[in-house]
Amino acid sequence: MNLDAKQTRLVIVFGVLLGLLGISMVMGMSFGSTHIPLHEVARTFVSGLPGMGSLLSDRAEANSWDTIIWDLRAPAMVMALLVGLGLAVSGSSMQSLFRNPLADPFIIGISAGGGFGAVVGLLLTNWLDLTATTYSFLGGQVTIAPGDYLMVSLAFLFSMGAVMAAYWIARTGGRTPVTLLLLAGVAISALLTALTQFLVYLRLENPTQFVVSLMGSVSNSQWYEVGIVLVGTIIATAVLLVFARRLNVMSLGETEARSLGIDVERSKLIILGAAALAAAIGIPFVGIIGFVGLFIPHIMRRFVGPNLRLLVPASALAGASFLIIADIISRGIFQVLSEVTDLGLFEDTQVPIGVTTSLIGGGFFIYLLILGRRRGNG
Amino acid sequence: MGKVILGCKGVSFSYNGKKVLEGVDVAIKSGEVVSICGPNGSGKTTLLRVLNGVLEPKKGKVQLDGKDLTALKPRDVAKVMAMVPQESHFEFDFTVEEVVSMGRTPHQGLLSFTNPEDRRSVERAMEITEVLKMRSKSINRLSGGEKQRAVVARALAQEPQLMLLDEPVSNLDIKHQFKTMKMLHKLNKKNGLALVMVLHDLQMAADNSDRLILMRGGRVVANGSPSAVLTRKNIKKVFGVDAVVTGGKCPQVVIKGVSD
Amino acid sequence: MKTTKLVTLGIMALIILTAGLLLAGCTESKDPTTYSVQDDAGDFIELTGHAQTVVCLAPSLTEIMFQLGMGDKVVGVDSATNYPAEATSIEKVSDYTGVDTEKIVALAPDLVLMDKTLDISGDTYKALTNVDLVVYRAFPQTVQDITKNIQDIGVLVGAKDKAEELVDDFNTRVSTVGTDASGDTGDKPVVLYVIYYDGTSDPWVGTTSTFAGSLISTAGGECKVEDTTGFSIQISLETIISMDPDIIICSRSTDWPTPSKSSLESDSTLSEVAAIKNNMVIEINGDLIDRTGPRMVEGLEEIRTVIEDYHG
Repeated sequence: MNLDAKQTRLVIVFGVLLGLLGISMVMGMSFGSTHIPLHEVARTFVSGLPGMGSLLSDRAEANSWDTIIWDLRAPAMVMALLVGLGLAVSGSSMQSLFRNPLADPFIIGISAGGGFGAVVGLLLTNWLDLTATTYSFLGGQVTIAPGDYLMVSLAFLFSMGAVMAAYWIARTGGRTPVTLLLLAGVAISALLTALTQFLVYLRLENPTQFVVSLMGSVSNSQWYEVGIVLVGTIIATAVLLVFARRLNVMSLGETEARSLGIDVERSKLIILGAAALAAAIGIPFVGIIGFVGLFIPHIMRRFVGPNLRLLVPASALAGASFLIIADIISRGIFQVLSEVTDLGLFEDTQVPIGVTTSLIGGGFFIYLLILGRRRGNG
Repeated sequence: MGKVILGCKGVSFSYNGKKVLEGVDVAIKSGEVVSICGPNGSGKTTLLRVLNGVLEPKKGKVQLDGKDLTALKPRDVAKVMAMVPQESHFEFDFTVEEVVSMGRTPHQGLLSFTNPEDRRSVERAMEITEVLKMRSKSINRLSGGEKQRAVVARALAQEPQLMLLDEPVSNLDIKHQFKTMKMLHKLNKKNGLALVMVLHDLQMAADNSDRLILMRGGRVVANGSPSAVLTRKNIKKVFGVDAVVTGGKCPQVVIKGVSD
Repeated sequence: MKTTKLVTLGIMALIILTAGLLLAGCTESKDPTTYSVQDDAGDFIELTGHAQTVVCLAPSLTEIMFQLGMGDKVVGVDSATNYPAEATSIEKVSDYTGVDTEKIVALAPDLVLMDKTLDISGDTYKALTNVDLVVYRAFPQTVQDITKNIQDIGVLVGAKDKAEELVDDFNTRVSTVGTDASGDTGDKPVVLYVIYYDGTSDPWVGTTSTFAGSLISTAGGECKVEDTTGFSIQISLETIISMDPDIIICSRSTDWPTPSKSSLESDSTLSEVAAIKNNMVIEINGDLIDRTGPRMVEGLEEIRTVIEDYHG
């Protein structure tokens, strides 16, 4: 097969991204508060795979390692992977749809809407006393969690509602100026965040618990939660991939998209729905995570160009790796800091993952902006 | 010159209560080159957009191939009619080839991949418009003329029977104006592509069109062959200038001064 | 003949050996008795044999374990744990941001004790039961509920008698305070419990629905901050002025700065409040008042002492 320079570069980029994801997944399974030797991680992992006999070592810790790898680290790692993937995919689509590289789920109101929906869902779940039940089914276990379904649905509906509201507010005379849309998104985000805080401070629940859970964390994710997020993320990503070509055209503007044969209003609704789903589905479980949807597509565009048929998969891989690594950093940063600085920090404390992503993402983004300004191409 | 391919009857349009088009009747036959001329604000661009189906008229009807434009799916419209806007803004750095490939949108289903036919069509469009050698360059790094040609290539990749162009040469220098008009002329003669252009330059319109439409204040003032439309009286009425028109069948227009 | 003898000997040896092995097995295997209690969340907790290793996710629960003399069974504690001193060196498995499930799993405890007050959303409980840990949830609403927690934990860890002893002592001391208080003459003093105030935002205070409120009323005072949520709340200085408390008790901590007393005394807008005018702003170790453990009775007694001082 003969590849031209561009194709060669794409093969390399995607190869690196896949390798990065693989390494992050292994790291995600290897790091934790308990030290487990790498070969034991591998052995425990393999023996837990379906169809494999037990290869667990006869060491006394083997059983708790099995639990740690398969019930704690694996679901947390996969949750981080899915949420990072969803956010990055959502961000790359939004930026094209709104023709603005600053559009992302956080700015446009999706995150705030999702957060509000999740809190409302949590309150309703407690109020209606909806509890998850686990059934045995065909040799496996199936968990039915009406409360989680409620939270996920509300998070999706409110995030979709938030974007639609921003869109409706910004729409004037058959057109939707992007600046107005971003402003409306910011305003709606502020409103929904305030409403969320209002609910939290109504003290129907213990406020700190809420604040901490909205700050974002993937630890204590459970397989059935991962399952819910998996289904939503797959659907949303598939829709966005299928619409990638149309979305490319829509990034030229609605008038041109229309004259190139696209049913603009219908496509926009579907894309918004999918983008909202990809970004909001994880919020009830891991909280609001900022910046991933903004800066991952931004960086990936430099490597693969703006064509969404490449940008969406590249962002997906990069976003997934990034969040897994961000989670590792969140869990380990205080431990490392307290070892190197001897400041008497709480070495067992975790930083919410959203803080880590915003620290890394925000810093990197500022660096990019300054770099772009120096080069004179903004 | 064949049957009417695109036409509108009694079309009116207004922006925020201000009338921009009023009772406009236009018919474009297949293979025809029609130029729309008129002063700024006479409704030329709006008419083009109404004809393209991007804007929906408040009153009146637009028909493509005898069918109501509103009843057709956007993709079926785009298979017959392409639009080259006056200016294209590309927020993201697509390559020329990617931009031209977007012209294939109406021919591609949601799940279909780019097929050899798409590739051939894109290749041919780039060849005709002479952007082939810059295919992997970023669209935003091209000169005004090159960018314009790439957008025309995109319209060609739609394989339309009819192309609408909004001031296709207004941002170009004289050499590129000439080259672009020559290319469009060739497309019309060789491929039978009907052209509807909004043009500023009356002489250019006269030289390159089968028919001219003069507009003023949202109404059609004159509609016919260049020699029939470009009269002293019409030019004065529409543009408010004194002109000398010579040359009979191939009119030559020289503007002499502002009339009151 | 000889063979028969040998065979008999062999069989006997085998029997003795087997019996010995069985006996040895018996002493090694767990106590087969099932110990069962119903926790405050309504779940039945069943253990086969007493819990040998216990993780406590709240300082109060660690205190209960140590008071039961079972401190050496505690293998993991919350990072806020500060009493008794020897408990602070035990591995920390949780803090205000949540629990480190992985660490707890690695410790493989027989029993996890947690306080549902710190896990209203149920996330922690869900995470722990998901990895098949046995979890007892305490959720005390009244001072009396604490004694139930002590008894339950006593049953589960094998300190039933010690628990009864502890509860008897607890109850006796509580009722002594109650009896003393009923002998007070004159108006009940209005007592305000300030958890935190540093002059920058409104003070956080105990309410009628918090433990502080019930301790104050048991000790013969009157808590005038009405609330039903069970959480401490913020009230404005204006409210304090119009309430005009006779006694202000400030929570003191050794773990973080508690400038409440000096902030209140130096605030000129409060100078006419009775408690401040009469030097009745008293600091008490907040852990004795807010922490739902066995030492709450000490907090009660200290409040009673302050009220007795007030009556003179």
